[in-house]
Amino acid sequence: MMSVATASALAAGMTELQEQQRAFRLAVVADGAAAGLLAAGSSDPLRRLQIYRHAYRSRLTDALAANYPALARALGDEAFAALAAQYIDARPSRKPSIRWFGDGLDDYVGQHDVLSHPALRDLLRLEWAICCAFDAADAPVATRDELARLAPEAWPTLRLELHPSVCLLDLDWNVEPIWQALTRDAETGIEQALPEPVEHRHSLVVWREGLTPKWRSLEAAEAECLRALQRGETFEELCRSAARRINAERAPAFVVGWLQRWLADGLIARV
Amino acid sequence: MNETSSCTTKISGFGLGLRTDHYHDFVDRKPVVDWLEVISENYMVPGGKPLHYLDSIRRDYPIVMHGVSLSIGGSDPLDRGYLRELKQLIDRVQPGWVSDHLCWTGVDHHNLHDLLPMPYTEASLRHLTDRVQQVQDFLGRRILLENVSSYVAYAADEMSEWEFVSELLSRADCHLLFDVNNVYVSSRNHGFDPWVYVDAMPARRVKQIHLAGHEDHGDFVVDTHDHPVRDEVWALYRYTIARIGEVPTMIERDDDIPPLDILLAELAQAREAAASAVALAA
Repeated sequence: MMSVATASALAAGMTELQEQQRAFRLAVVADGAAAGLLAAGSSDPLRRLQIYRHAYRSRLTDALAANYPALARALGDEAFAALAAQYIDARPSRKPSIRWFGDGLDDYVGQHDVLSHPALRDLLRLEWAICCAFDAADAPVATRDELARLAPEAWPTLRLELHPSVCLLDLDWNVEPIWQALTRDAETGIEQALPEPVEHRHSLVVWREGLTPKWRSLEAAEAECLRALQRGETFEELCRSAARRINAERAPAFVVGWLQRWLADGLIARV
Repeated sequence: MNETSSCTTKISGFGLGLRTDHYHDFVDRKPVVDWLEVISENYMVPGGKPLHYLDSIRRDYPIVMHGVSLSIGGSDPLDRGYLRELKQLIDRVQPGWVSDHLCWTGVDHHNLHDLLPMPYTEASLRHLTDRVQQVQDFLGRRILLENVSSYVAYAADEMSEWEFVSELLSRADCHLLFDVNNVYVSSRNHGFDPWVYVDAMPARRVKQIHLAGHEDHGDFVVDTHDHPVRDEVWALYRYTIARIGEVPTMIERDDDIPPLDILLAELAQAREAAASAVALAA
């Protein structure tokens, strides 16, 4: 058991340390003066602080670019660095791992008018979803054979579950060709003119197949059906909601068709 | 302290830091490396590629874990969520040991993602001793702490870095991951004698050595891990081994990562340097 005297000495030392660390933090992130904090030493401590200041910004800018490579390419080095600088100041990292830096970028650009084109926001949302699919939890996927073995009477009440890597996005712009062009540029090293963004409200699904993130654009009816599945609706309910969009007779066939594709792609977790 | 989780993974010889660029080399070619060090945070993710390769490579190589976010010297409370995740990864990897840095990484829940120096004061020592003990109790094992490189010193410093480090090791009953390059970098930045630093290290607590490259700017030196190990650092390494004996040693490369064969050749250099140092000391 710690004595009262030791505990209070620990608390006093802790306050002193906290003040030193607060002053240091301000000196690094906000160019604070750090008066009295640093030893004069053999060289100018303010010049030496620049090493920490530079490291702080470049490390976080690099982490943001690693999570949003297509956005970084679309904006170019200078504009991306400017966006990163604003984001770094507005949304300091709170997570132990730098891997999550940029998790609030979609929200941030939604609140501040910082992008030169609104389609870029959809582009970055696609990138974050890809980034999350990359290291989302592992889970075995359901196969066609497994489902084929189900008794017919089990189907109406069957609730399928999506693989943990699956993310559904609603987009306002047709950003897929832009993402493809930017990604191709990154692979070939040759920069080509980007396709003009076209306004197009649609949905897109992102998931991981094996170790590789994938995405596919969806028609409205399929997207709605996938969302119903995500909400935990039964197979019967999926067919019923599809019937409201397509004609009632053909709806089950559509749902079965989509389901076959989802199974082939690995979107459905093992039942 | 009692080691409640027995550590069965034996580490000796010469290792490398595992980097994504070399995943396929380790899986396909299985090059001769005695052990690998992984950055813990890179694998503190739900699933996917990082954990897939970690599990696969772990089957062929002994591994040690090296963290960057413990913030053992921080003044925010220890992050229990982080420690729980770390423990889960330890259970998965069964590492030879677990290390982090003798530093702080953020304050007021703002993570700067940098290894920031501690003020070398009695207050820091007390604070660190208490926290190291908390972490060791939670993990059920001794941890290794690495001396970091630094560019500034605090006006409040009451002792030298080497006095501070060796005092902490003894008070907190933890081990040292001795980064020879960091000693060299800090010695140039603060104008101290790196050999004196080496002399002050308690040999029995040094469990691992890091070697790395740096960038020399003349009046200051930056710890960049993007160059081969420099001659001055090799000399300090030979001196360290001559004084404390053979210690598992690895090369860290984090930027401008070359093909694996180049790092393997550099690791062979480390083997030779250690062997010659041991022969000289005998």
